[in-house]
Amino acid sequence: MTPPASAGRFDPPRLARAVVERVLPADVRESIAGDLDEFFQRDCRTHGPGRARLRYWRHATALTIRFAIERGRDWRTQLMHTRISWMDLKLGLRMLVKYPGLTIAGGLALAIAIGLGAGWYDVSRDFFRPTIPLPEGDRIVEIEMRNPRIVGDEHRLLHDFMIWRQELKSVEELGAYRTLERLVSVGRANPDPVTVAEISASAFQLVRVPPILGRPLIEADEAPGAPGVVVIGYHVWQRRFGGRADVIGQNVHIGRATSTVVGVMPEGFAFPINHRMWVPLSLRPSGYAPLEGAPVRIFGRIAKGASQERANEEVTAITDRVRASSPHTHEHLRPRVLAYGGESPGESASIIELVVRHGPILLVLFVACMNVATLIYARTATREWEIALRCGLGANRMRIITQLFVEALVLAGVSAAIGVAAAQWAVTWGVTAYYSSVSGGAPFWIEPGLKPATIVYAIALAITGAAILGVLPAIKATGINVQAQLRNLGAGSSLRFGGVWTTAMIAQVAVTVICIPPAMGIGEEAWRDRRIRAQFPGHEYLAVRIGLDQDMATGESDAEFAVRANNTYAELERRLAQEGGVTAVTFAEQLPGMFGEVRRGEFDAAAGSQPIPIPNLWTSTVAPTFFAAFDRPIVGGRGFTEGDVSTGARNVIVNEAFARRFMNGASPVGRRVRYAIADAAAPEAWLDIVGVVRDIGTTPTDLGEAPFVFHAARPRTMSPLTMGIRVGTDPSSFSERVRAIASTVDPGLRLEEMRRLDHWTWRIDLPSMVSASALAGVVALGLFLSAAGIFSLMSVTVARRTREIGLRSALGASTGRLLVGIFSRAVLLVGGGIVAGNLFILFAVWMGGEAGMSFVLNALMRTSAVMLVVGLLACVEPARRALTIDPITALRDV
Amino acid sequence: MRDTLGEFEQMVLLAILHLGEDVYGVPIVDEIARRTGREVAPAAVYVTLRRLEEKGLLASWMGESTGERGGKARRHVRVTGAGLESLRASRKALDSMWRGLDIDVRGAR
Repeated sequence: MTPPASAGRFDPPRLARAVVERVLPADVRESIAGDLDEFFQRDCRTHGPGRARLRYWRHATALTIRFAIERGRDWRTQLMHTRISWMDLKLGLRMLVKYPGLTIAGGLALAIAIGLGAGWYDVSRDFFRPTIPLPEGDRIVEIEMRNPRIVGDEHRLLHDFMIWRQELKSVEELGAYRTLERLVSVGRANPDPVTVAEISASAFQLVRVPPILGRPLIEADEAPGAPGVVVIGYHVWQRRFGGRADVIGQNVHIGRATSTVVGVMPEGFAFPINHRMWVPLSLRPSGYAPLEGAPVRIFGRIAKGASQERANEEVTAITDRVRASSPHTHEHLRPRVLAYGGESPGESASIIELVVRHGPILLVLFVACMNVATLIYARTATREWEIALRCGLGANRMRIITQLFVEALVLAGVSAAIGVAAAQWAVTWGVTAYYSSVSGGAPFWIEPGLKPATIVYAIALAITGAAILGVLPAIKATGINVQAQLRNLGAGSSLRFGGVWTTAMIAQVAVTVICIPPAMGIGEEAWRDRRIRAQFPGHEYLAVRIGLDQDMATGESDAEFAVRANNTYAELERRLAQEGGVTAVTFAEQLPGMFGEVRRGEFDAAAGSQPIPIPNLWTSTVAPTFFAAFDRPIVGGRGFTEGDVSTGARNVIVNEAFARRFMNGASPVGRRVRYAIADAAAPEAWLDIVGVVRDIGTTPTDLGEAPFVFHAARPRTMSPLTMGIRVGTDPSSFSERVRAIASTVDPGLRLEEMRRLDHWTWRIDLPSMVSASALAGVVALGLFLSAAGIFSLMSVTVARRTREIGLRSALGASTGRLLVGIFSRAVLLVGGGIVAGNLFILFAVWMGGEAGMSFVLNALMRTSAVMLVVGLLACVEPARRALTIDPITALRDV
Repeated sequence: MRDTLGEFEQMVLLAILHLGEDVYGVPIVDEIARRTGREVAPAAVYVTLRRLEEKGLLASWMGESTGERGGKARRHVRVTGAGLESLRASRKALDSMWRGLDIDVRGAR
């Protein structure tokens, strides 16, 4: 293609010229571009226009590269000679005071972002990949057995454990333990509940922590008939024995057994989780049948030269073999080797894992920084002349950028301090609260409060944030032509909200718009659930988690344990029912208001028709006395009888919500329901619906009370097992009486988390309410920042266009036309953000495919209305300023 | 200690001195190419000119805009006293290094 010619002259390639004018420094731009034109015209004459164009491109490319290198060298030199002074810090602090609006809005946004980032970093490390404070703690693993057909893992692993202990090569020092909550007493002192680990002696080789007194458990202690021994923790030693040196050889009553103290572990030692005492785990030498015996957890250490992947393969291969010989027990069992205390398999976190885990939080920080950067840019616009003057007086660009960076760093630093303090409080409170309901407290590897690495992370976040929100506006502000700005002294700002900032603000409005529907939805749902659940008379009931452990020390068989457990729970129920004020005692896996199990299901509504799929079907296992204890009558069919609790019984009762949802209110008695599972080759058996019970009303959903299926069972087979006691007045004061009765029925009975049922419900509802409030707070802050950004944009626009507004006003422009001229950009910005946000919501809904159109339109209208109102409010003050501009004053300086 | 001039910096300064009046980018590029017999990248000359001016070895000023350059003005340059002094120092340093070497090495240039 021939370049366009005019009067014998050729024009250089437009794009190359644009590149040259873009990359050259302002002071030499004109002269070098002219020189290149001269070279080009000469080349056209001597080599022809085609070659001249190629040579022009070569010059342009070389200039781009060389000046980029020069610029980098200049910046490095300036940076090396730039020092941050106390004056910079002082100026930064003064800026915080001088612009309180920006300080509060920006500081709050950064504090939330940095606090969230630091808190999440700390918590995620503890939960996903904790550091186990033991020698070679990173090689300690836990072997779990998953069963997709049950909630939670399969722990009846004594059969598998004994095989693994003999055959596994890639995991050594393999051990097992189970947790016992025992009433422990020394001499005639009152017994107290203590978390005891019944554990393999190999645990003490694994942890490599020697006792401070006596000896650890040894293999001989595990032998059947060996004398009962116990190793006690430091806390128990201090509290029970006053730290006496002659504790070794003393007797301790642990539940029904008496054991001799053989060792004392050092302070802080609580392996495997949060245990205070350790007794030997005695195994039957003849072995166990598959899934026989008490539930245990398995731990070990990856052998030298082996890896977690290798261990996984080996355990899987052994389990495959067991499955072949015992398909009825192991058909669905899948073992996996996990890092101890963590969820994530593998030896180091992959990049993807890190991005997935920390990406959203870092995105929040980035969005917050861009928000605040918009405000800072607007502030910088008001200081443009000051910057130009400093440049004119000899300050180099790096010096100015450094000062603006330090100002941002002061803001980010103060925000980080507030954010970290808040995160420290929140993490400490959250971890403490989370583990307060867990017997024994937090695991030994979790320390409430932020770790030093988290503080370093927060500092890095603050510096990164300061770099984004300080340096970006500074680069833009210092890129102005100093001479032009000084010439234009007093004529107003020349800085503009260009494409980058406009895009950032549209994105900010869009993100806020996107967050409004979930915030409103989650908030409404949380408060609705709380309101409905609070109506249930939970204050009349005492709820307690209860358990009884199989006695492995005496070799108690499963059948013997079943008889003992049935008798114990029946006796406990009988004794409690005899107490004055007690009107009902019942058992269930979950009492009303507690989290139930939700499964996919299928309903056989009519003979010969396709089953109706049920995506969410709540299910609970209850004692036959359950419905009467909670005043819920059977409204169709019959209630549970003793025959329904046998192992083979397949009779269930559904609630009225189930009948309404799937039978249009007709009785489903006589129909069948079953749980759907992914493995269609072996579907679960149909269950016969024998009755309909009145809705309990503590599980609200968007479509009313949740559909429930109730199974009947004996307390012994329920897991978890919760006992509900209806007490006329003040159930809390009855708790001590319950403990006393339980200890007389069986000292081995575990009673945990005993509190009023409404307190249980409140504790369950609290996290969702806190989350909803936090989300509402973040959205409110987003709205505020959007408003502040629009306000800044409009203020700068009005300031820049003061003369124009004055002139138009003097020429008789109407108020309406003036406002439209000035604020059309704000309307475009808010409108663009709303459209972008709504499009995203529609896309998300389309991808999800579950929400109805009316719901979506409702959400879009609400978000659009909220955002429009906020945008208009932000324009009020700039509009007032624009309309009060006096034409004479504005035009005086022309 | 004063920074010694690089070879290309010396060439640019010497080219300016050779050219005398009305010196700007285009003739400097041509002069170096003519005298050294090798092609010179204009970008290298402009970067060097800027660096020399920052060091105070050159002074520059904008001329009038001309039609043949699309209305763009030329940036004229001249060597300052400090520039001359640097050139002399560089030559002296080089002469000192060459002094005493036998003719074979000189011939090997």
